[in-house]
Amino acid sequence: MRYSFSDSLRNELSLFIYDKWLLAMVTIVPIILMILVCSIFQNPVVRELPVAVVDMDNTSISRRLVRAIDASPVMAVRTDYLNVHDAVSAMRNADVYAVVYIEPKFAQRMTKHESPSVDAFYNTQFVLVGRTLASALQQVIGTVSAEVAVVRDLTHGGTPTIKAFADSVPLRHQITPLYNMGSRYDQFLLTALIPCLWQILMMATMVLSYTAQHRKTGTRNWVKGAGLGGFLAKLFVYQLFFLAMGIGFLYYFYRYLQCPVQGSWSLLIFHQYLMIVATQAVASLVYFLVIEPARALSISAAYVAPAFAFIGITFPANSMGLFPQIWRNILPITHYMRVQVTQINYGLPEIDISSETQNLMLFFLVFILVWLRTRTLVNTSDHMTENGEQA
Amino acid sequence: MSLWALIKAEFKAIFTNSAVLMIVFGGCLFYSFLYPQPYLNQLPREQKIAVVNLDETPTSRRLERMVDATPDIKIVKRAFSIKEAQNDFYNGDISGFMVIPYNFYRDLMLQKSPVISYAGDASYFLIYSAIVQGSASAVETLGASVNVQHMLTDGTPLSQAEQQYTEIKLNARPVFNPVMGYINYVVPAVFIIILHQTLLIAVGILGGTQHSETQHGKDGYWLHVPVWQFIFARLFAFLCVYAPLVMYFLGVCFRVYEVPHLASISHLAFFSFVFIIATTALGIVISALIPRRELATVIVLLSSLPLVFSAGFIWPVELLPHWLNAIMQFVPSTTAIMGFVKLNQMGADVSQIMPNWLRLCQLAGLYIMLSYWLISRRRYREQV
Repeated sequence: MRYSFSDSLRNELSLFIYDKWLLAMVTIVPIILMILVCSIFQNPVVRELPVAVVDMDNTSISRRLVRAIDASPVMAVRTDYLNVHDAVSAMRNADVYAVVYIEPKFAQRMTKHESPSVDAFYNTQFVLVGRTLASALQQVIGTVSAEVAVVRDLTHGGTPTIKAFADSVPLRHQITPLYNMGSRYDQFLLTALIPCLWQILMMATMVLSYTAQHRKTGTRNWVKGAGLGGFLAKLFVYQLFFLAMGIGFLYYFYRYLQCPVQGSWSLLIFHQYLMIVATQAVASLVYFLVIEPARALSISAAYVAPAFAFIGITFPANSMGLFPQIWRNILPITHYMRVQVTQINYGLPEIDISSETQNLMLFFLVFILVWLRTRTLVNTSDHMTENGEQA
Repeated sequence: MSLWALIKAEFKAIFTNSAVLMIVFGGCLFYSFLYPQPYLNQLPREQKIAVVNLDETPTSRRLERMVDATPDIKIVKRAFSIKEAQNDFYNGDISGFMVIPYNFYRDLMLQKSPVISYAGDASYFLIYSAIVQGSASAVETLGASVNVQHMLTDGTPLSQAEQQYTEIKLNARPVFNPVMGYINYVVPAVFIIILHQTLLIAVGILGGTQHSETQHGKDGYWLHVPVWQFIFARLFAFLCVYAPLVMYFLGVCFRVYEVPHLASISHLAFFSFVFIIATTALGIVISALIPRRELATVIVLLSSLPLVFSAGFIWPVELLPHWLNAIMQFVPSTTAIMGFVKLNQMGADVSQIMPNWLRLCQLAGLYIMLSYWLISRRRYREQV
């Protein structure tokens, strides 16, 4: 018996009542996940990281230096360590992220014009933190050093301040971060993290939806009865939910993460739609290949869970080897992310994203495999039990 | 049923359940291969930039060469205007550019502190910081040499000038991961997450399978043993299965990927033991809560990224909201990652990871009691 499209739509909606977990996947779960990951980056810039300072000199100059370190927004000084050994041990314990050692006779050597050195060890096991600390330390020492030089110049020769300044800083540099001006980590990481979570959620939800259908009527009966219309109805219902999530997080980026969206919203949303269909294609294939929820989800997990590492936001794609290059290209999210970055940040009509559009559409071909697979499924006689392999 | 027979039955249940085997062995092998792949080059090297040299003097060209010589940056193009560099940037040919202003050399000699500007694409932090670091180090080196030159012209002897080009020297040393490599950074933590998540899924699927078999009226061994024996046997069985996997990840894989590791085997074993027990106990709790086995995979899959990002190695714990950190303490992976990384990568001694070890013990105790209660309740309901 054949169903009409509206019957199929009704069937999809009734699945949500049949399986509360499925309903949760498109309602409460995305909200919880969103709250969770967004609150991780509640403080969007790195600041007040504990740094141990061991000041063996204890003169006004060394204390001036310690105050300068403490004044840096990135670092907060801890002075409760009496020697380097204690401080390093605290760093091993991740209580502090760096150790700064000011040698004895620091001030004395400075007055003698002997360029005393400040030793700093910073923890680079956590690379992002390490990099931030390194440049903050560099900045603080550079500033204090220039100040000392200016003062010395003025007291010695009485050169005008500007000249004294130039003497100590012969070259200046101006660094401009293009896009993400405030170097906000939430803008950097969340805009990549949330689409990855979105892909994972879509993949899992589609498999769960097929599973619910399987438990309710059996996959074969469903494919036979509902046919192409039923299939399209299923894809359509979930596309609405997924697109709502997609537009939701885009709006969040725009409103709360200060993402400018220089390009066009319609292009962005259009590519989100392509991304949704591409993910649905892969999810359908995975499900119909194994027709067993636990294994289908395990395969989905293997496919989408590590995607974040491959999209090239944290670690640039141009520094990856051949295999990761291939792997990242068979993930829909990679192509979507390129569109998202260009449309949010650059947004010029000159930027050609048609190749990404094509790539996302290539995933639609997977539906042919799904179709072939369902054909064989319908044609083979009851070779699988309708309860799957669970029972 | 004797305890020994029960343990044998547990092993049989694990090794005859293809979904569990697929996750435990297939999953671990696959992830241990796949995850480090993007980072094999450790560092983003030779980021492409353009240089806009409006000065065109030997000194400004020297600066160009110095920038190009840094490992971080490769100058692929010499643009003649900022506009041209911008266009190249939009086309994706370069990820940043550097501008040397007009009269750079003259201003330098007149001691007017000319400004070198550089811009990098901050949508990709690592590319950006590579460009910034490369340019900054070249500019600073040139600055120092100019300073020395000035001092020499002012009559300072060379040896003194080399010493005094700056008032304070910063001798900064990166430690624990001296090359700032990405493998060394990501892999140790992510491997713990992989072990944690696959273990949860495996325990969840096994428990879920048996639960659905019970519901289909099958009379399994798990219904006929005291609950505490059942939990003990399951913990023991998964300890036996996962101990070799921990060795594989922390031993073989770290060797293959050349991740620095400092801890001794006995210390690692000491810590891994509670890690596996606590995680398995959490897995039993999950398996006792879910109605169907595949939901274990869904829960674990969806929680992976939030767990990774709140574990403190990507984003410092100090900056997490307190309530979130408090919740995450209930997941064994959070404290386990810190413990393993402190022990194995940062060279902490055992006394320093005792808080993490004790936290895992507490979690194990908590989840064992919780699973005892849940399983007893479920059994009671099934009998009614």
